[in-house]
Amino acid sequence: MTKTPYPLLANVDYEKIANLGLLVLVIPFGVINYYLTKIYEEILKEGDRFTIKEIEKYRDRIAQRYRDACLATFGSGIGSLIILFYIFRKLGWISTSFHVTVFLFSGLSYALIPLFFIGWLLGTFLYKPELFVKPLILSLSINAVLGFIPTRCIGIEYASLSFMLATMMLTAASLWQSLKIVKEIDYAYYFAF
Amino acid sequence: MREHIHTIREELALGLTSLISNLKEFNFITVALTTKPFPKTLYPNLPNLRYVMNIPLWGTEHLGEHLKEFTIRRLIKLSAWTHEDDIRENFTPYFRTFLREAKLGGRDPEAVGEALVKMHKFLLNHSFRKTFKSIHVWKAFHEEIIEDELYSNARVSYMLKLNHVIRYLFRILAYDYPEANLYHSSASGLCGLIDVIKKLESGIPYIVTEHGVYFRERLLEIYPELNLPEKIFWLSVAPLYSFRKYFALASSYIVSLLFIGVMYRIVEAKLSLHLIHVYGIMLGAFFAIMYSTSMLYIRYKILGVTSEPTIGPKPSFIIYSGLSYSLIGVYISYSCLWIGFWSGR
Repeated sequence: MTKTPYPLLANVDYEKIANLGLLVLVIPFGVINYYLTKIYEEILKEGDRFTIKEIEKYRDRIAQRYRDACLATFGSGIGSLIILFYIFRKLGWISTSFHVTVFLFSGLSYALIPLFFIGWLLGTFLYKPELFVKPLILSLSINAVLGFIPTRCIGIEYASLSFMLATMMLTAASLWQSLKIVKEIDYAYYFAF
Repeated sequence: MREHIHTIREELALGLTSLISNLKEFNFITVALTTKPFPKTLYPNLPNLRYVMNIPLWGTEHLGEHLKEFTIRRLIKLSAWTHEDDIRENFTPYFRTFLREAKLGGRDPEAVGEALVKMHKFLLNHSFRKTFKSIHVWKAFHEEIIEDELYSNARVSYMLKLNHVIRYLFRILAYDYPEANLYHSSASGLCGLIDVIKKLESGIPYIVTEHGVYFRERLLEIYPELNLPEKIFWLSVAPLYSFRKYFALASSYIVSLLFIGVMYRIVEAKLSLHLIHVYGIMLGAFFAIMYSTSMLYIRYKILGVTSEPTIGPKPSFIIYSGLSYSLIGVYISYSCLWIGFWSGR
């Protein structure tokens, strides 16, 4: 006798909680928008403040602004996650340990994804989107492979764990790439335009 | 029939039409440096004009994409042939030489010429885009600027803009120009580089005809934000610097300053502040012109002097003149504050 398949393609209980986790993205995306606009402007504006002799200071200044942007984005993501978790617990939407596992793992992934986006968007602005393609493909593959194993062997709620692991890898790789770009922002800007 | 190539600037196209039509024994190929890939032709198609090779400085993403010979295959091939090591070894040293010589005002024309030829040869067989986006080219540019005492004080944003401009202007080195028996350019500026390269490569005679005083034209182009009186002032004081008449140069500024200062206090109610400023600058310019012309007249006509010691334009000229100009600006700002203070505003 074969195992009864899910009536739908997805587990509704899992999807419901994972989708609630998507709300984490709202505030970090606003923060990304704010900081990226600022960085785009400052690349040239700060260039008016520093002489070529002081180019290291100029690079540090832009890199510092980018690091601030990453911290603020991640901080706002984590903040959103905590607040949403508290609200949904109060509302009774997260009531079981299954819900807690799915929400926290997927919520943490959604708090990390904006860190990938900020690097990717900056890279695209500076005409280097290809740097982010390989980490993206790798993390999607990891997610697909890892996601399949716990879903079948341990339990569907651990699919969000694989999502989180893949996102962590993606974020780390894209942060490394984007920090490399901002380290020599003058060259990146020259290359792009 | 001999073939004769001349490179032209757009505004001279009509004037050169008569040159081509009157030299019927020559066949011409015209190389036009334009601002866009498909400019409207304003002059008639002459029988001895074989074709016009249009070189747009702006408006194309890939070099030569507006030409019939352009193929994606060639673009991919060039890109594949262009490697970072190759750029570092066979392009960057000449680019560096060119920049160094440009900074020093072209002290060694042979070195500049050789650098231009080598860069041209390299760019013919390599991707222009990949070459100029290389980190080695950027580093060479950056190092040449940062090593220079004067330019290292420029702003980072200026360096970024300057590099963009250089990159666009260097596009002309990446085209393959047709062979001819004679080359002619209508100016010694950018369009002349093509002919210099061809002359150095194959020893073919090159004629350059000028249609203005190049230095004066460049001065007019410096600081496009300057208004007309300010440009006139620049033009008027430039000869004083060239003739090393520094006292007269300083006096021109002092005349301007005195006039503006005095007029602010005396006829402030009758004239607008803007007009006082304009009149002051014009008076300074008038003083400079009068001094230069009187000095030249006396020395040449009365004293019979046949030559005048001069110095070429140097960055220091820009600094001295610019400094004086900023002093005027500071003075005016303080004057305004002072007027405001005394009038209780």
